[in-house]
Amino acid sequence: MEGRLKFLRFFAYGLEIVILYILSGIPGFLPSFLGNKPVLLIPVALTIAVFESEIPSMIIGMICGMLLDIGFTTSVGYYTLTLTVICFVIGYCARNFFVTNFTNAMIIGALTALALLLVHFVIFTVLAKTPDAALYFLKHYLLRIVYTLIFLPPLFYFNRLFCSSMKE
Amino acid sequence: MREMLSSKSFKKLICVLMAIILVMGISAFSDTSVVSSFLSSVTLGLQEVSAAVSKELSGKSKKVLEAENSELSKEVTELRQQLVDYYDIKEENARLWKYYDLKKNYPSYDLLPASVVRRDPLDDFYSFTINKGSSDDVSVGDPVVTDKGLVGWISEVDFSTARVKTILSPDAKVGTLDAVSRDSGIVSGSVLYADKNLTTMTKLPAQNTIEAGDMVITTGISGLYPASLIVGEVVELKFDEYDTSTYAVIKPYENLTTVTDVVVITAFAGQGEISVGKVEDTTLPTEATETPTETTSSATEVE
Repeated sequence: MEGRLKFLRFFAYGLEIVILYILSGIPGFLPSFLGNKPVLLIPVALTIAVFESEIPSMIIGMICGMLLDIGFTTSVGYYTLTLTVICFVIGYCARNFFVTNFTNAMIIGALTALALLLVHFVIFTVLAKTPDAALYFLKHYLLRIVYTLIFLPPLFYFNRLFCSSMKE
Repeated sequence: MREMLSSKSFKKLICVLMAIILVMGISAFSDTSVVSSFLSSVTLGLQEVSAAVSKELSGKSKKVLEAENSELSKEVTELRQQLVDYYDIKEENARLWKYYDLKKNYPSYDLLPASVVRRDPLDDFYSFTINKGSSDDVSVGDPVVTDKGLVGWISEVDFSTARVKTILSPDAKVGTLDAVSRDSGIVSGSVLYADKNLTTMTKLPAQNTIEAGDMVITTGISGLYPASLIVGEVVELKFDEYDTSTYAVIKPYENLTTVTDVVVITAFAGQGEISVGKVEDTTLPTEATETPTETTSSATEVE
């Protein structure tokens, strides 16, 4: 029974990831905010990780990261590596060190998403010497971070629903 | 912390990370990564579904759909069987006409029509993925156009898909000239203008006579882009405070933020040949045909 529930839960996660990947890539589907769109797969991976243990979280993080990388550059890279590690750590901490509740999940999710996109900005914009980097950060990265974080609460409740209904 | 580092799970994480780094290494040292090609093939179906959904949804409000529906109902009544698949055929026909026009204007080009299958939310300069890849003879650097002009170039290719970077990107370095004043410059995107579907023409001569409304075309000097491809129209001339130079703000005729059908130029006369100090005197397509062409100072196309 437990195995069946586990299978169903991960099938549901997989479906959720695929659907959000498609939705986020549909031209003109998600409303853009000053030319920015949310990166839905980041909050998905993070909110799943707070409910699962480290290995499933790591796999979910790796899949989301790969989809992000392939959608963006057609090769595996930054997001695959970082989301794999981050989801592993979140999964481990969620199991051993903190209680999974809304406040904790929001704090961890927000800080992690912020760190992920900030490091991305430093590596791919500042170090790449993109002109007008500060303006670029304000107009794109900052707005994208905020827009992405808006999806943390609904995705947290959505995944908690999966978790509570498909976990013994 | 020490407990985590000595756990079995952590060893598994290390193994997974090593595998990912190995895959990244393989990707970095091969032109077309097997892994990314495989994953792109898997996701291509999903992307085509999403692109089809998007085309259905784009710009049609309930009112428009209702009006269209009633109009269609009338036509269906009148034409019955003749109108079966009418809109599908019409859309296909329009696309093929554009392709035909392009082929007619540029007979020496090998053209490959493609559809946009994905626009990634992470990209700020409106690059996109098309449904043609190395299996269709698409290669890195191929120019991408529509019937309205230059869109960008192929930046990455795998077996079944390719990424297109647009001329809104700061990575773009296209040698161009003003078709009226014959002043040359480099078209390159800017963070300031990209989200307004505008790009810039920099490195202009100090004594240029460029004016708003002038058409900008490619020079074709470097052999990366064919000569006389339409790039866009000059909107205004601006002054750069930092390097005390002037640059022109260019509006591409095509809306690069929403384009859905493009054509890849897989081969053209003069491809890869550098013409030093001259601009090929080719006949301009469409509205540019009457613009007089003459030999000008050199402009470089840099990639």
